[in-house]
Amino acid sequence: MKKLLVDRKIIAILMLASFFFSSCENWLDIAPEKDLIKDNFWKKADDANSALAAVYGSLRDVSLENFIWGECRADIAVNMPGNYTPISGSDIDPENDAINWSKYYRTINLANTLLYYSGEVLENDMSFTQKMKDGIDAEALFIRSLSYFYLVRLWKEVPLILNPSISDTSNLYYAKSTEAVIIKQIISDLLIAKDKAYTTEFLNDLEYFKGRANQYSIMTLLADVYLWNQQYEKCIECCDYVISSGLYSLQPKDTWFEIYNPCNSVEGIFELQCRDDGTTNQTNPIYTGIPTLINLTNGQAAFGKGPKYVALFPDNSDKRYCNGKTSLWKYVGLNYDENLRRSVVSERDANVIYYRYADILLMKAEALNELGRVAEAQSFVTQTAERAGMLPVTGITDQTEMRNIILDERAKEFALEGKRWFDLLRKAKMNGFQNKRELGDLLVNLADAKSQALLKSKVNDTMMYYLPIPYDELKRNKNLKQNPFYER
Amino acid sequence: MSYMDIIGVRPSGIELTSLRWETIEQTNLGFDMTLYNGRINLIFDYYVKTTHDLYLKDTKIPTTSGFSTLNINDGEMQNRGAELYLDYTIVKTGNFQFDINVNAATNENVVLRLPENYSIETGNVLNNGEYLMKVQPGDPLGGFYGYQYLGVYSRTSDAVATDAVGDPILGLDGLPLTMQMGNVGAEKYTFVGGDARYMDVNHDGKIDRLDVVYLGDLNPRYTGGGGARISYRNLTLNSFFTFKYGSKIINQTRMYAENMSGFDNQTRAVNSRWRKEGDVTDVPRALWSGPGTTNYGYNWLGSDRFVEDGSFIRFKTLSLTYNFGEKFCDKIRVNDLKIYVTGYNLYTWTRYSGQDPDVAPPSKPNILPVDNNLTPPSKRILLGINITF
Repeated sequence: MKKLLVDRKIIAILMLASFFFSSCENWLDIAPEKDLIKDNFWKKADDANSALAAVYGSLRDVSLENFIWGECRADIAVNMPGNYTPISGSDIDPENDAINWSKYYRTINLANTLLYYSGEVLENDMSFTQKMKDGIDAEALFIRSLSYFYLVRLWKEVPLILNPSISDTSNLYYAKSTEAVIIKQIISDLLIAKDKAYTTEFLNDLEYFKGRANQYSIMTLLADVYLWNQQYEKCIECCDYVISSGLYSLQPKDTWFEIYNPCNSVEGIFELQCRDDGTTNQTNPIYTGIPTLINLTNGQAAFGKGPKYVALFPDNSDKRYCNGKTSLWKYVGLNYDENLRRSVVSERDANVIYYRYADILLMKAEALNELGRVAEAQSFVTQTAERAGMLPVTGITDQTEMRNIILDERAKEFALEGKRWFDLLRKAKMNGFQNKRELGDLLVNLADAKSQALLKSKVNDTMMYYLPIPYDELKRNKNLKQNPFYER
Repeated sequence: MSYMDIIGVRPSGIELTSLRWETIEQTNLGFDMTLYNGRINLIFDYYVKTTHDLYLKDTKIPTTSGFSTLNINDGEMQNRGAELYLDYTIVKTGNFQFDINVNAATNENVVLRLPENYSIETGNVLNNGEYLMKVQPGDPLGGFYGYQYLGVYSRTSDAVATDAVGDPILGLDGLPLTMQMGNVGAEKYTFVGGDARYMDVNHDGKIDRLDVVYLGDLNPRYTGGGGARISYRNLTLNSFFTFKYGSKIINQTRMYAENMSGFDNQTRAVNSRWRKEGDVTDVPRALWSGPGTTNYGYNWLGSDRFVEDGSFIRFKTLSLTYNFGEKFCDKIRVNDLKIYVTGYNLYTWTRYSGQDPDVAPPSKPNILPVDNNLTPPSKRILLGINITF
């Protein structure tokens, strides 16, 4: 009998407890404590800024790839790291892990998400003005365009995704778009961005001015896209826009190395800002991604001097040769003539320079030359050559000769800045790949001696200049079709 | 993800708006039969269980979405099987009774449908120690793929590519082509004497993804148990056995203890490893390369070498009970008094070389079912007195 009484007490306690805890009826809807959830985001100006920072952060993550792909298959540097080694010899397997576009698309999705929600912030936060929204939208469009420009030059045809993947009902299985469609989208996006973007608002804050996309960086990227697309008049217009702003000039001859150390020189147009503050993880990925880069003394370092590099700099007369020091001296040297390295910290916080004024001058030279204005082109090539201590380029009248001079000048000016492969490909693909033979020969020469014979029969297929769709992506998305060159 | 002085924030995943419960549709067909005044009890059950809206966690999605995985409900899976239970009282006299009971079950698991763009594929068979796992309609969950292990190349001259009838394939120079590893890398690895030999299924002179075959899955074909119960007067002897038949286990512990490519302790099996040209053995050479090189060979690729039959019969319990009867209990004023001795996990009959063939299935279908030789079930003897007041 006693036992029964105890049971009753317990039941009473349980009933009481259930009364107290019944207020938790919505326990399924409790939000996770540490994570932000979407419903609470996109309310304040800070949210838009944070989302924008993530877009830039993602671009920083992909900068290592941008840099390597710009050199990997070209002739300025040899000894590509890890899985890039076979690719540099045109031994390209879709299963090679180095072939991976996920970081590009992560950046694109973050930009798409920001573009999708920035209007919501505008409605929710009075302090977030239309001008701020436009500025942020322009930056997102710039980074998205830059990402697609890399994708289209590397893969030629990729999915063109302009909507964010915000819920599991979003379309995730896009097919490829053609190069023409993607280029058209990039151009129209950049034209929209140009009108929305900041101009000189951040002029007093050098890091913001060089590190965040403004009207001038947008016009520079647009010039590059027009040049790729053989719209030379338009390219010149864009270059002239930047030139006539008067905000940029070549860093003077005596202090030219300041472009790289300490960065943010008068020449910088878009420099992705890096920091080595030990906490926010903003170090330059080129250093953190390639350990051998820092260990340049062991002879096995990645990015040794390639055949073209050696040919371009026969002696010390060109300052850009840095007296024969390592090809990567611009990334590690304290200055160009002394044999002193930067401290490790200031190596890692060096910016990733995407565009600088020298690019504007040489793009304009190239566009002028392609329009037959060879003599005018000469004066622009001369500017960068003279800055490097070389003689002016004079007396050239032949367009083809001039084209090669400009290409070589770009190779010297931007050696190991991740541009060479795209320059070579741009030249090869002109007018329906009229110059493909040169690029084909180059690829054969750079290949492993054993595979050269086989490669010779393949380099006529222009699709081999582009990367295969990653094997894993084909598995994940059946709407994707492999680049025909790599189909087995 | 910060940029300059701005702290970056980004979504960690795609918002899940269409998750729902799995729906299970089950059909049962069975009968209960009692014969000879309850001396035979037979229960039989056949079932077909179809799971709709299969919950697929961490489904790989195209990275063009900006993400790489998503949890979704899609697909259909079916389990079909039968269960049998038999209870038979063989002898029943005044103070002697002998019963046996047996239960057995068989289950067949098959994935019927998956989302069109769906693929679970894990494991890179070009790396040592990795098996390919994939789930595709028509296959059971948990199946794994790998190479067929053919022993060890006794001599370097044996490591040549052969055609379907076993003749060496000759190269342009008239010499036999050497076997190569079809890996992606700067240098192709060429097999030499002492290296593990794998079946070159398609006879192309390369060991690669195309040479991978289905090796099995962890799901047993039959499971069950049974035992006998004998009671004479106050004494009862009870036994129980369990069994599993037809499961395949990847013995990862053995893999690590025989791979000879690190500093881990190794088993005695490595004593019979290949050491010099001409040695005939089935354990490859030890391949530890010095600092500065990364060539560890391909001697322990995921192959049937480490896949073992996980069938077993386990003598789970044996128990002897003495019941002191009513008279005695009344005398000492208790309701009931028993003493017993029980042995657990007394013996396991198996060909499996690891600690315990009863390997628990992994928590997710895309995890490889490997045995890491966790603590096996202990053998215990329990002695007890049971008094009820």
